[in-house]
Amino acid sequence: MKKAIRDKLLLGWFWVSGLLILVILLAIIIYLIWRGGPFINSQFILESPRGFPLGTEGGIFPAIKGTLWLILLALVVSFVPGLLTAIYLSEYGRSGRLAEIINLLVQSMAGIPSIIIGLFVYAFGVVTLGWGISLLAGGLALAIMIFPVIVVSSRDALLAVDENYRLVANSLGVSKSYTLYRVILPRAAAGITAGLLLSLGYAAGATAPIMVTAAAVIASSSGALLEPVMALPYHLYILFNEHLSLNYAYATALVLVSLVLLLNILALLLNSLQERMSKQ
Amino acid sequence: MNAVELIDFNAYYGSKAVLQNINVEFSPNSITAIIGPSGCGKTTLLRSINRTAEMERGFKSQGDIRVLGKSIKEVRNVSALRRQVGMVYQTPVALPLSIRENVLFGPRYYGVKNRSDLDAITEKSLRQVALWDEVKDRLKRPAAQLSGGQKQRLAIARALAVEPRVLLLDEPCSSLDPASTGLIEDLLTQLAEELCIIIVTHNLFQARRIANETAFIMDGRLIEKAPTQKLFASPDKPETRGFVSGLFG
Amino acid sequence: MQYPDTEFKEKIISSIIISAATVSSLLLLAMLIFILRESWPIWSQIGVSGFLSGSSWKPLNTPPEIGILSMIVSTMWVAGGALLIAAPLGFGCAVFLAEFSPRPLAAILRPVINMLTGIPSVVYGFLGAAVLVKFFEVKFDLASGESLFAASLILAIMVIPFIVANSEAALRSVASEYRHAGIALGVSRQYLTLRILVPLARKGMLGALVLAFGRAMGETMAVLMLAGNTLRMPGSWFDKGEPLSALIALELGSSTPGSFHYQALFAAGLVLVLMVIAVNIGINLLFNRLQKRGDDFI
Repeated sequence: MKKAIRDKLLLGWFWVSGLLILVILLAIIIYLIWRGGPFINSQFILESPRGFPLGTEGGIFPAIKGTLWLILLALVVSFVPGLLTAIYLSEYGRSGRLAEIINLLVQSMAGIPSIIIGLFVYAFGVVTLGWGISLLAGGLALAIMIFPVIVVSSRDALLAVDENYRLVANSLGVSKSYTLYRVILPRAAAGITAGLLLSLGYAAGATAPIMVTAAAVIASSSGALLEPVMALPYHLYILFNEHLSLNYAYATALVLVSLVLLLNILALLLNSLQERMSKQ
Repeated sequence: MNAVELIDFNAYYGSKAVLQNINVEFSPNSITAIIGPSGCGKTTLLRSINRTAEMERGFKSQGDIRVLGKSIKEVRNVSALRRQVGMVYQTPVALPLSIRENVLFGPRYYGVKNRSDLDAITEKSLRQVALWDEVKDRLKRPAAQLSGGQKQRLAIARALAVEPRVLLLDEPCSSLDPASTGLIEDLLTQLAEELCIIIVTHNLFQARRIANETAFIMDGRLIEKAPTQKLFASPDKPETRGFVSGLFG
Repeated sequence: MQYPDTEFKEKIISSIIISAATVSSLLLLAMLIFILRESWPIWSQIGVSGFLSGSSWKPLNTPPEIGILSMIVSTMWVAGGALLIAAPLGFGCAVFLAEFSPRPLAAILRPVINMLTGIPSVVYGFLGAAVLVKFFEVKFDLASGESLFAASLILAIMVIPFIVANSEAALRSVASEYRHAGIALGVSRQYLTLRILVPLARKGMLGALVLAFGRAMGETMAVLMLAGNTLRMPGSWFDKGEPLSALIALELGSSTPGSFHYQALFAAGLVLVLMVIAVNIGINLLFNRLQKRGDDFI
C-alpha cells in the first residue's frame, strides 16, 4: 500500500514540476503582452524619449539603435577570434595538451559573471585607455562575454561534420585549410550561424556589463564609437527604477524579449536544418 | 622494380605491436590481395604506406617503406606521396559536393584551372570506373544522390583523378551488392594494367577472382605470400592452410 | 599538375590559427591579472582576512572601513536559497522530461525551457520587482517587499532551465540496459528512476547544480532589483542584503578611478570570480576523487 502511495506522490512531483515551468513561461509572455502590448506603436518604436522627466513620453528608438550597434560591434570583434579558436580545437588540436588547456580556459570564461567583464573593460577601456563611457567599451565587454559561446557552438558544429570527409581529403594529399574551405566550413555553416544568433541574443539582453561601460540614460546612439549609447535593457532598468513610466517599462521589456526570442527561434531553426543535413 | 616494398617494418599503437617484421614486395601492374583474420593489422599496413596511420595518436613505426624506389620517410612533401598512392575506404564516401567537383577535388588543389583540362580529367576518370555513361548528364548534381556502388566507383575515380601509381583499397566491396562488386572487380582488373593495386579483402573468393598474388597476414606477421592459385591450392605454411581450408576441396 | 608550395602557406595558416586560439584564451588570465593589479593596494594594506571578514563597508570614510563580509553572506544566501527552491523543481522536471512525459508534451516543454534561458535577466528582475515585490508588500503589509528571499525566488526561476537541461542530458545518457533490466524485474518506473537511473546520472545532475550555483552567484541585475541593496549584514532570508555583484554594479560608476574605494571594488570583483571558480573546480576535483575510488555508479 505504501508503495503505491509513494509512487503516486512521486509521479505528481514530476508532473507538477514539468507543468509549472510551462505555466511560468506562458505567464511571463502573456503578462508582458498584456501590460506592454497596448503601448507599442510606431511612435514608440521610432521616436526618442520625451516628456518631463525624460522618458515618460515619446519612444525608445535610440535604445533600439544602441542595442543594435552594441551587438553588431560585439559580433565584429569576437567572431573571427572565436571561429579561429573553434577551428583550432576541431581541426588542428583535437586532443593535444594545448587544446585541453584552451578548452579549459574557454569553459572557465563562460562562467565569469558578466559584471566582472564590465569591471575589467571599465578599468582597461573606459579609464586607462581613456575611452570614457562609450559604445566601444560596451561592445568590447559584450564581445568578451559572447566569445566562449561562439567558440563552443562553432567547435561543436565543426566536430559534427562527418569525419570521413577529412579522411578522404587527407588521402588525396590536400591541405587542411583546403578541406576546411571546400568541405568542412560550408557543411558547418548553419550550426555556426545558429551559435552566432544565440550569442547576439545573449548580448542584446545583457545589462550589467554595459551599465558600467557604455550605457547612458539619454543619448543619440548615432554609432559614434566614443559616445555613450542608450540600450534596451538599461532603458528598461531606468524606466522602472527611476519610476518614470511603468507602462513604458512593460512595453520596453516586451520589445527586448521579442528581439531575443526572435534570434533564438532563428537559431533553433538553423540548428535543426544543420541536423537534417548531417543525416543525409 | 617493385612498386611498393616494406622492409623490416614494425608498427605500434602505444606499446601494442600491430605489425611485426613485415618484409614484402608488391609488383607494379598487378593486383595483390591481403587476407587474414580481423584485427591482424591489414588496415594499418595500408595506412602506413600512404602515411595516414601516423595521424592516429600513439602510432609509431620502425623499418622502412619504399614507394617507387623512394623511402616514404624521406619524402619532402607528404602531399606528393599521397597523390601517388591513392586510397579507397570501406565505406563509400561522397564529399558533399557535386559529382564533378568530387572528381576534381584533388586536381583543383594541385593547380589545374583550365576549363577544358578539368573537363578532360572528369571524363577520363569517370570512364575508367565505368561511371561516365551513367552520370554524364548529371555531373552538377550532388554526389550524395548516388547509390552505394556508384559512390564507391566515384571514390575510385576521385583517387584516379590525381594520377596515382599505386592504388590501395580497404575492403572496398564489403558493403556493396554483388552486381556493384562485380563491376568494381572488373575495373580493378583493367586498372591493374597501369597501376600497382593492393586490396585488403575478407572475401577469399574475391581474392581468387582478381588477385595475381595474395599475402596472408596473421597477428601482425606476414605468414606467406604467393601467386594466388598456389596460395589457395597448396599453401606452404600450416597457418595459411588452416585459414583457407574448407574452401577449395 | 604541379605540386603547389603549400607546405609553407599551410604553416602560415596554422600558425595564425594557433596564435589566435592561444591569445584569445589567454584573455581570461589577462583579465584576472588586471583585476588583481588594480586591487593590489587593498590586499597589501588591509590583507585578505581583514577584507573578507570585515562587516562594515564605508569606503569613503576617513579612515575607510572596507569589509565585504555582508556582501559575501548576501551572495551565498541568495544563491543558496535559489538552489534550494530550484533543485527539486529542476530535477523533478528533468526526470519528467526524460522518463515520464508523453512525447508531444515533451516536444513543447523543451523549446519552452530553451526560451526561458533566453529571457534577459533584467526582464526577470523587472517582473520580479513589479509583480512579486508588489505582491509581498500588499500581502504582508510591508513598506518594502524587497528581500534576499525575493531575489532567491526569481534567481531560482532563472536557473531552473539550466538544471533541467543538464540533468535531463545526464539521465538520457544512462544506458538503456538499466531501464530494460528494471522493467524486466517488474518494479515501478518511479522506483526504477529514483533507485537506479538517478544514482547513475548523479555526476551530471550534481554538475548541473554546481553550474547553476555559479550562475546564481554571479547574477547582477535580478539581485540588484530585488535584494534591497542595504549594506547591513542580513539576519535572515527575508532581510535585505547586497550581494557582491550588485555592490560592484552600483558603486563602480561613482567611484574615483585610483581611489581606495575604486580599488576595493576590484578586490570585491576578484573575490567574486574566485568564489565562482572555486565552486566549479572544487566540485570537479571531488568528482575525480570519487571516480578514482572506483565507484561504479559514477
